[in-house]
Amino acid sequence: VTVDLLGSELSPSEVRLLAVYEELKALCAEDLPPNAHAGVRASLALMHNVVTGLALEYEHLTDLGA
Amino acid sequence: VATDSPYWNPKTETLDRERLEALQLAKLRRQGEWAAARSPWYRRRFTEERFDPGQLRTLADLRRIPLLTRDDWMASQEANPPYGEIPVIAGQDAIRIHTTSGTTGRGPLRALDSRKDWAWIAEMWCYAIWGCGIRPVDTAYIAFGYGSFIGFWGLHYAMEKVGVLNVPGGAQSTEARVLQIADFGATVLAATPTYAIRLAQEAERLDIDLRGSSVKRLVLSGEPAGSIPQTKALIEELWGAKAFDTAGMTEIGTIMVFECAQQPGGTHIIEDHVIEEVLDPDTLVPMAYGERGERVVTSFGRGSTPLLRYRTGDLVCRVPASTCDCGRGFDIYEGGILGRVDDMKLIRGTNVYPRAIEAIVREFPEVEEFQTVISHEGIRDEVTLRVEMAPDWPSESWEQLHDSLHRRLSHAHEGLNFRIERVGAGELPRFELKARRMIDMRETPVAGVK
Repeated sequence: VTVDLLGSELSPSEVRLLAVYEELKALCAEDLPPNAHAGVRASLALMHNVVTGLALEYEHLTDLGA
Repeated sequence: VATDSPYWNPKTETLDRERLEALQLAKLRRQGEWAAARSPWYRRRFTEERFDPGQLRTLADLRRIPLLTRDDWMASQEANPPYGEIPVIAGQDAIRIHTTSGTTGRGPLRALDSRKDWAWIAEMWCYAIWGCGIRPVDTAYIAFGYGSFIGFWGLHYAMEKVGVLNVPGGAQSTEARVLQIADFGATVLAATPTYAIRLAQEAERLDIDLRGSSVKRLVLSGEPAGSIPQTKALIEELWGAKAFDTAGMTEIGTIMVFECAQQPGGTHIIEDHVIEEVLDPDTLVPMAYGERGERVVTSFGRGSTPLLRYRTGDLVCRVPASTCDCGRGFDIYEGGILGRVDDMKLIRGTNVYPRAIEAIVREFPEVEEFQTVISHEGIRDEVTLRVEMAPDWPSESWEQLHDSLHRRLSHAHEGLNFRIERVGAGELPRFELKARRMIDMRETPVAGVK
């Protein structure tokens, strides 16, 4: 993804924020111990605020348990 | 942290209308597809109305989406208890449930939320608290009961998210709360407008000087009174602080409007997260800027309980963002939530609104509490304002106050005669949440008659 929901180029910071978000999503598929399982989903929920707020992505996370 | 930014989210709060609406359309398409794919209720309704989210080509196509009412939601819950068919998840997949306060004879609405939805609920409050100038250096006192009513729960988490020192003021007497506000040196108070006044009255009784206290900002919510100029002026005078209105609802899960630091006489709509329509409640035709109508909300926040075109019953008047010079692109509800579409009372041919009565009564700070009672006596309706005076108020001034209240109320209501009745100390109910000061006895069924 190189543009946001408005078609604007992502800034370098936005690229990194989106990468963190995607990495957290990917981690939800891993078989993690309870503390990591919960922590990843809690972190993902907060990062969802960031990427949605900055209009980088818009989706729901129900299937990932968040 | 850019604490000098007046905006919580500068990127979207300052979008121009064209780009803001482009963002709304992009989200609307996805939310429509989500609801159609996952919610049994929406899937059925869309099919019945021959609506397909693929028809959302422009923002005006929003009006193709069928409306959702509270009755629809209740009926779905009753047919498929306990949550109905609007939610896309089961109870065990949620982390939280909140309910409305309920209506006569029917249970409350139940709203399920996921982890992500709850993070969003707090995020929406962040727009408000940051926008009115609250920063990490502040200490906030949340005068709220922390029960199943959603109330200030989201605000609590938003304060923590911003980095504010939070004092949860649940399960305490009013006196204990006043003492804690002073003891902790709170700089921010969150309460309903009614309860902010109640706390100030209690502080006076305890001989605590709130005007000289460290409280500088009040975040008000839960009642339209936060934007009634006379009530707001009274609260600001009692506290020696600035008061900022917000409004939300359990059905959304959080607030959708807030008053910025400029205090423009209304509340900004958080338009990157909701679409707010203002419709004629009878014809459902969109109202122009400056015209009153019913709020209909579409929220992009909750995924677990999608909310598309929900008829709120709130009466509002929308004006352009340019009405305020704060730089936000978010339009404004002038005067906040003006009341309920159905809260107008017709008394001998005259329209009577609770908001209009409150605006007059609050011009008289010596009135500690009040209640309006509408009754049917003989062949005609009567309206009585019952007032409870401050304890130290001199009784000999009653006649003058009576005449002033009578004259002001009558003048504002086409000459309608208001009876003014003084009641004893503590006789009228006190409220922490959602004050109900108008009682229409004409609607009260006779005991034993169904």
